[in-house]
Amino acid sequence: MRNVFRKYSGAFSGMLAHTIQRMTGIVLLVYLFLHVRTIYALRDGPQAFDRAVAEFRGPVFKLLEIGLLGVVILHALNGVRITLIDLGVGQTRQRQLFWIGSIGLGALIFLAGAIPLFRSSVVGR
Amino acid sequence: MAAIWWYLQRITGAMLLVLLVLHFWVEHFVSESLRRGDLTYDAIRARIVNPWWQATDIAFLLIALVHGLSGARNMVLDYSRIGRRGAQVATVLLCGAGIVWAWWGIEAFGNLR
Repeated sequence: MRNVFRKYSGAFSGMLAHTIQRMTGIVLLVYLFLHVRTIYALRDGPQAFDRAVAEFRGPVFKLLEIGLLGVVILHALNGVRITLIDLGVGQTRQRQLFWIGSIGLGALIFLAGAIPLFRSSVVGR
Repeated sequence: MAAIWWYLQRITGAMLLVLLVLHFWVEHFVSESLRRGDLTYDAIRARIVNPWWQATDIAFLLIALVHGLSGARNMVLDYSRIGRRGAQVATVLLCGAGIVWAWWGIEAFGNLR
């Protein structure tokens, strides 16, 4: 494991993007588990479901939800970048694709979603 | 064999991007109460009685599971030295988890249908 990191350390070679993709992937898989767990309360009728959803209305969960938005955007845009490189698009520009596409564009989309979310669900309550 | 999964990961990823935007739109954006995050049983029921929405949601779950568990398998095989036999065991375990997980998610709609 340490050898793997040493091999790719130093100049940017996609290792940072690769690590981000794996970390965010694990987070999303854990989230999918929790999401199905909550949705399963649909079986027990309206009261049970609305109670299950109400657990996530607190400000802490709202902040976690905003964090989840960031994780999803990073994973999705970095995935688009990987797919483009696989298709032969921007192979010599993968570093720029990462910083401008995944991080820059990602930050803009994140702010566009996070600011209204924060205002309506954290500040507005 | 590995190449098929490599491509499948890209294809399912592209599908998930489309489904995710749609999912976000219908569950968090179309109305004032949804934008506040007030998702209710009745709102979900009103959508899920439509078989096309049901199929879309189930497809979203299944594609996410193929993509997510295939990614998890890549990580297990990359970061461990479990050999060929171990890799086969990991694959079978993750497939089993995927089937149970899919059933769990589909059953959630069981009483809405």
